[in-house]
Amino acid sequence: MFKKGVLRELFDGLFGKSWPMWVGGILLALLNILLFVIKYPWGGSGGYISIGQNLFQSLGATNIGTKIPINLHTVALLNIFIVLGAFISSLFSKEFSIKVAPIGELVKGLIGGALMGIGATVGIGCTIGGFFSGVPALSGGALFLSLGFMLGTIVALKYLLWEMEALPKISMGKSCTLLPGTGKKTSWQRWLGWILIAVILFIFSNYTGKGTALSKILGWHVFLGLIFGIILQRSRYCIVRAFREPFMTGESSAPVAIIISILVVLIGFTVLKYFGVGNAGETAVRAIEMKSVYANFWLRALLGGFIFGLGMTLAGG
Amino acid sequence: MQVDQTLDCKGLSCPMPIIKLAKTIKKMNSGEVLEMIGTDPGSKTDVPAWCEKTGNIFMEQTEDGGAFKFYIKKK
Repeated sequence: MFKKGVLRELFDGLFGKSWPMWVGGILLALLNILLFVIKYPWGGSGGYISIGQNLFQSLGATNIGTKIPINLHTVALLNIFIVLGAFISSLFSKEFSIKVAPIGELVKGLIGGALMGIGATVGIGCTIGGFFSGVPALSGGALFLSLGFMLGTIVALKYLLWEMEALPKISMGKSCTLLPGTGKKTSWQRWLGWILIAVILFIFSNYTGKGTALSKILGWHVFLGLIFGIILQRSRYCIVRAFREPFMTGESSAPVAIIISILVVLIGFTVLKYFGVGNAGETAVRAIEMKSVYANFWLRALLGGFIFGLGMTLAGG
Repeated sequence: MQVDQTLDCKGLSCPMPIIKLAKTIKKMNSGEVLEMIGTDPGSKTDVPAWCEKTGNIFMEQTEDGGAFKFYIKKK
């Protein structure tokens, strides 16, 4: 048995203060390698495309590609449970509150998000699938996508600096914070977190209990989504920062964290491909080499990356 | 502590607080103290890191009802 209080201390240690970004980076890199063993490397935008297809089809749109239901789509499930995992993590660390930004910032968020959606579709990939998985998979397209991210970030950052001088009102105005996590009467946050963990574990066991290969894979995406979300929230692992800080503050902790994690993923992916482990083992060697190597080699990748880079810096977060 | 200027970053998220902080500090005189108010939890690590990088002095940080207050002295 643990001495009384040891588990509590561990919990407070994990959720009391934020983790260095490089710690998050290495953990995410290991999980990305695990995802490659289970199915495909980590991706993000594919899940949003699936959610969009389902949404628009339910609204009556046709001719929008082959639709897979969200509950059978690995990336869509992963996305949803990453958001839930990060939510639980913010409840546990008592950082959760609903912050409503000034109206100008909300509009910028909307425009930035739309640009990210367009960019990810044009370039096939976002900062996750196209960069965090694409670069270590040695995709040529991913290199052009990354170059596009960098150019888009520089332009959007120039815009933000200009906006501050010329239109300072955009980032001023009414804002409010609801349900702050600090102060009195916050124990409900941790209870809600535990209830959500129980619900997610129930969904996980429901998937894996079905016994088919696909349901097991889907179940593990539910569980890993939870872990991804917690790591992302605690370490504030942010790829946008790695692209932005060199041009903004010159601070290097984010770029260093991202470079370390890319190296870990590179080694892991290369080993998996070389030995044909896991999902990669199902295909011929030539096909393995092509896994996660995108067809949009240069112009579309560069353009998509540029649009995405504009959007991600404008939207912030 | 004497506060010479206050910067309200409530509701703003990364990177706006740091951009505003940099711009405000630039216009202040050496030795003056800026009080910065924000709600983005990321600022808790970003603001001290920015101060260390730029050589400005990070004096104090308080937290009340979900809002953070940072006190920074211009170098």
